[in-house]
Amino acid sequence: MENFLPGLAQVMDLGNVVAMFVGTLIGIIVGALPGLGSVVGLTICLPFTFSMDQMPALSVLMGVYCGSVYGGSISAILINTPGTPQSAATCFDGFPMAEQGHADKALGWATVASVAGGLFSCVVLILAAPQLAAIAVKFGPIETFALICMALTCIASVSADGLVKGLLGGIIGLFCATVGSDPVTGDIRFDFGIFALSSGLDLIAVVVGIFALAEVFSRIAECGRTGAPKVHDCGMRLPAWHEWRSRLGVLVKSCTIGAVVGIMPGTGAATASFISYAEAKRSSPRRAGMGKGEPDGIIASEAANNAVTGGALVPTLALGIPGDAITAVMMSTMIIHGITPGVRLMAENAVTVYACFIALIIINLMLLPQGIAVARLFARILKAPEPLLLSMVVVLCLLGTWGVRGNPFDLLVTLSFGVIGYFMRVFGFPAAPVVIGLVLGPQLEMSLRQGLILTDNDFMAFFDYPLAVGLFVVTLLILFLPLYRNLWARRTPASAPLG
Amino acid sequence: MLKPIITCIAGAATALVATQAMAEYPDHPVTMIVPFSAGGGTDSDARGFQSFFGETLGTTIVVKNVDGAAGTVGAAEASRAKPDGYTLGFLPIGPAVIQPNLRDLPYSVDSFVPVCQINANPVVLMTSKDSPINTIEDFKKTVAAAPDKYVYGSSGAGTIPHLAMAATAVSMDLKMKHLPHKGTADAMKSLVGGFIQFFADTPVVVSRFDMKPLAAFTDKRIDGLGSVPTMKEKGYDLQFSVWRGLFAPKGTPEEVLTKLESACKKATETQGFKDFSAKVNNDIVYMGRKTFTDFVAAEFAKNAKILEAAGMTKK
Repeated sequence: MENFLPGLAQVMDLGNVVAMFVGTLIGIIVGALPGLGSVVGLTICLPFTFSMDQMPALSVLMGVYCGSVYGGSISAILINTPGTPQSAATCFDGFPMAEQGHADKALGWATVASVAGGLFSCVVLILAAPQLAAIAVKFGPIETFALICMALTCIASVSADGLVKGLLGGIIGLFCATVGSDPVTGDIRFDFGIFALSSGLDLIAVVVGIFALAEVFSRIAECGRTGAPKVHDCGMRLPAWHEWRSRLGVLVKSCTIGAVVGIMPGTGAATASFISYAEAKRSSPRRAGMGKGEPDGIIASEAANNAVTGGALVPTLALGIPGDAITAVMMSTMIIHGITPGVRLMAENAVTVYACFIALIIINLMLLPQGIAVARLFARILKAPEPLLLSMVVVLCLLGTWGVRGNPFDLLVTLSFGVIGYFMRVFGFPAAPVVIGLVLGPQLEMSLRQGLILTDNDFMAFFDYPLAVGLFVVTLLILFLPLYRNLWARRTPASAPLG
Repeated sequence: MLKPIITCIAGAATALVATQAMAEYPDHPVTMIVPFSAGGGTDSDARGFQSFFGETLGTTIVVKNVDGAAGTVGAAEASRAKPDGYTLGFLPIGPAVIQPNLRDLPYSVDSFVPVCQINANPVVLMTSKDSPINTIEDFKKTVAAAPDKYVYGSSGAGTIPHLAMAATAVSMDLKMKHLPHKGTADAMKSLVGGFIQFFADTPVVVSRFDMKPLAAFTDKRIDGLGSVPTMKEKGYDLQFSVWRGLFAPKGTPEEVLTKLESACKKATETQGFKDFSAKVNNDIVYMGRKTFTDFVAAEFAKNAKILEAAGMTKK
């Protein structure tokens, strides 16, 4: 308590409230614009924070962080293009729902789920940061490998219509992830003698190409045939309590998955939302509708990715070990402002830590009104004439892609994947598995090879790690339960359960 | 989004100005290429330096982040730039002298003219606080007794934390496993979790993660770590530091280099940059053109030898 009040005073300072508000708003907008992800959002704001005081600087960055993770869902729902890779899983149900004319409701679900996820992770962060961090470090390469395997099962969950095509996509994604430097030896692989390829295929460049540009291309191709596209009349409609009641279980589970994955350093929000989606697809009573516009899918994805925010701050604040690329940027900002995250942070800067906690809660609460406002704004933009809208999307995509690494080669990557993505649509290949493979590929490879170094290249030794075995078992359950259910349903057709 | 725009404007300005007769240098903004993404250690260092260097040089400095392939993409871009002093590379040791030893790149150490060294941080061998190993002698004895049992971490293959440990293993004739990580913080997680036992990095890592320092890779004891012996004292001539400096593309005119050098010197002497460096725990170690050029050549040759001994030469 003796730290709480001074912390509150720091947060409630007028300048700081403005900082939180502006940061969150920038975050939501940046997140919603395809191509501009969380990291780009943070880097835009970074130079400005250098001249700010400590607390407002951190508030801006936390606002951008939380806002951008949420904002990605807006474009995922409205134009089938995740604004950030973290929201890729939101497309699966968000866009079908919007196509059915319920975009306002889909946005409502996404917003409430995001706020709930964010607040849940704040509570986790406040109550148990040091204890959880101590557990998180015991989570080594082998356990990480098992966790990533579990996340990969999401490929099966999102390719129900064509498992073979989905798996192929996943493999293509995993393969693309191996281009560039070898994480263990540093050797360059699959560069075909082209120097630019030695830096690998940038995730943002691929996501933007395969989702946003492919969407643009296919809309151009369809333009003549279908006439004017459906413009969804939307703002945002929050779901009613009776709709919520039966979905609380999914919400709580997704929040927990998000927070736990966030705490484990080295994974991130995209992994969390994939795992959470796969889990909901396995266990939700409404799983039959998932992929066709079922709110459970939106909840699973958005609650989990926002729950990562607080979770990822656990190891960052408690140990000085950033939970993902975004918290790494935040950590370096803290250091510039004279705060050293790590084991002594709580002892040396307790007031600042409490102020951060309070700011994080307020920022999550701010998501709700700001989300409603931004969703209205975007709905209006979407009513712009299609040629204008599409060219706007293309400009933003290319600008965003170039902004990530300043590497002109990435623009070529985006364009190529736009073309590839278009043909994948034409031939009925889902795009999401490629992205899942690409997001998880580097982590999968790194953890597998680190694990093999530790066990002297003995893969069977992985099964000596109880936590990893547990995760492998859950992975198998996720994979085989649907098969078993199908068999069961075939054997007893009279009492076939839905699903 | 803002940065590319600024860079575009700067680029357009460059194109406009270049057509006119060269006026006195510098008459428009200078681009400083940082070969890593915004928000990293090298980037925040460059941004701290940016405004002071701009003041002493008399123009605006634009930081351009070009990330990828361990900093070599950005370094390559800096080496390709027009040698007029309007594009410089803010390069750390890795892309400057280690990576060119590891593989074929579109640039080499000779593609640049070293302008000045800005800072240099020594490297310390460390282990976790609760480890039974307390001295470098303990270290040698324990590791020698169990070949291939102990694991040292690094922030990636061919990074200074890796080379320092690899060189230690060679000179003490020890066998250890090497577990590369995505960065220092990631490796620290493994150290706290007990997956690795040893790590070599700058002193700030020792204090931030509450580690036990065993020996310093320096010729003199480090201020603030006075009780930690140097490797040299213990009979091993192993010296490593993580440094950053300013490089111009080869062919930059002499009078421009002179101006850059003196502006760099003055910038490192400003109180503002000193305060900034203290905050981020960087030791300002200025070296002028001549000293730095010799130093870079020596570092290049030294790391070539270590990499060869560690079996990591160019293929």
